[in-house]
Amino acid sequence: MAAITRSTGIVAMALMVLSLLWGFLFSSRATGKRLRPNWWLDLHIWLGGLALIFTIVHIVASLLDTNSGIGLVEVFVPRLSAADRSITWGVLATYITAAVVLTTWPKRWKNRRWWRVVHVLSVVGTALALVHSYQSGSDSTQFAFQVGMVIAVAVATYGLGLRLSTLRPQRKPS
Amino acid sequence: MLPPPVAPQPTIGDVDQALKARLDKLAAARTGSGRSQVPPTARTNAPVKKRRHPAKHSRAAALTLSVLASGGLAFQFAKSDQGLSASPVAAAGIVTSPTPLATVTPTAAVAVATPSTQPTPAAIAAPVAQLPSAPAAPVASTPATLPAVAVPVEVIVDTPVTINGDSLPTKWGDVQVQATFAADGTLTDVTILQVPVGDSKSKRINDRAVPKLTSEALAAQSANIDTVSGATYTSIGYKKSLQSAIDIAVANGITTVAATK
Repeated sequence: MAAITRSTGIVAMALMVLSLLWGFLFSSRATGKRLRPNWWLDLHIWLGGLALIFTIVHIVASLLDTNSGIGLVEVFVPRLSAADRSITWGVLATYITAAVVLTTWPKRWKNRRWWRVVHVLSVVGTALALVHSYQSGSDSTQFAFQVGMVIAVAVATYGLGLRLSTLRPQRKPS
Repeated sequence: MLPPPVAPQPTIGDVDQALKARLDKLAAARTGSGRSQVPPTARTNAPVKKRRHPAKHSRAAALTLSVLASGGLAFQFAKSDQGLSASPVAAAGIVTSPTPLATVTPTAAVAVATPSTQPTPAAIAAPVAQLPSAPAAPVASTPATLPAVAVPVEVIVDTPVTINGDSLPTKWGDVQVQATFAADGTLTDVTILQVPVGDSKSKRINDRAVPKLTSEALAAQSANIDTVSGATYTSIGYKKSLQSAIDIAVANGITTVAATK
């Protein structure tokens, strides 16, 4: 069960980073001409949903692992003690991911500004997930894991930079 | 000759009506309620097939890759954990075979309790490579050259006995435990002598893992316990060190209940 916890956590983190990159590419119109924007948007939504599903499997596996020391309280309640801090980042990242994914499903938001605020939080959620994966677990010291972390951070930073470079000043309402 | 027929010219009132209808339609479309006024057949002649999921194949590929990746990683992790558990301690240069109490080397601290008012646990050090206060030179390479110290077994059989397990070098530091056996051979306590706490991360991980490992070992009365998630190396070192202490206890007839590996 510990192996499943570790593997699903890593895959969920990779999916979150990919979903973030897809979203940045889509919103910054950097998707190219070969594939239509709705393809990028569809895959972006799907990757986010998959990330949430794998995160749930990760949590359930850690709950079922009797030696993980993680119970319902640790899963749902962010705690600030030094021993639990790494888990807290994961809890917060899960809440943010769930909020971002679940608020994507309603097709039209009356207040799009709130949707945007929630959606932008996915950057924070991904960052917290990366910190969580680095701080907790035995894999963070493996060379392959560290290379993966560097790639993930580079990919996310590239997407964020691309998006920020294409931001346009908001028009004032007439 | 009759004049050619003239088409009836729209009157000003007719123009106003048409313009008014068009303006109304535009206004309705702008507010979002005008779509229902236009019948679907009027918008397009050919039926448009709506693609619900344009990235259907990519979705399937992403799902397949994710499942395969997590399955493969889980298999790899389980395999590596088993490999670490099964690797002989001797590979790290530490004595693996249980040494009888009568041949404890002088480099290991031997402290047999002499109860005064109440029985005190007797501390019998295993032939470990590195005790907290001992030099780092491995004992495993030199036990034959050192004179043996005889420890009378009959001194300890009626009192609680404390045995130091092997010191196991892990990737992040040595792990060594001290097992206490009651007079009836029950494993009553496991104390950590060495554990990696050099950095805040190791300390945080081991602060969480060690109490769980101890409670598991006491409940199972053996070193055959599960690995704590997130503390794989500490768990493996803990189990091996505890097993070496149990082996010594079993070899000397101190206990029989914890003999299972």
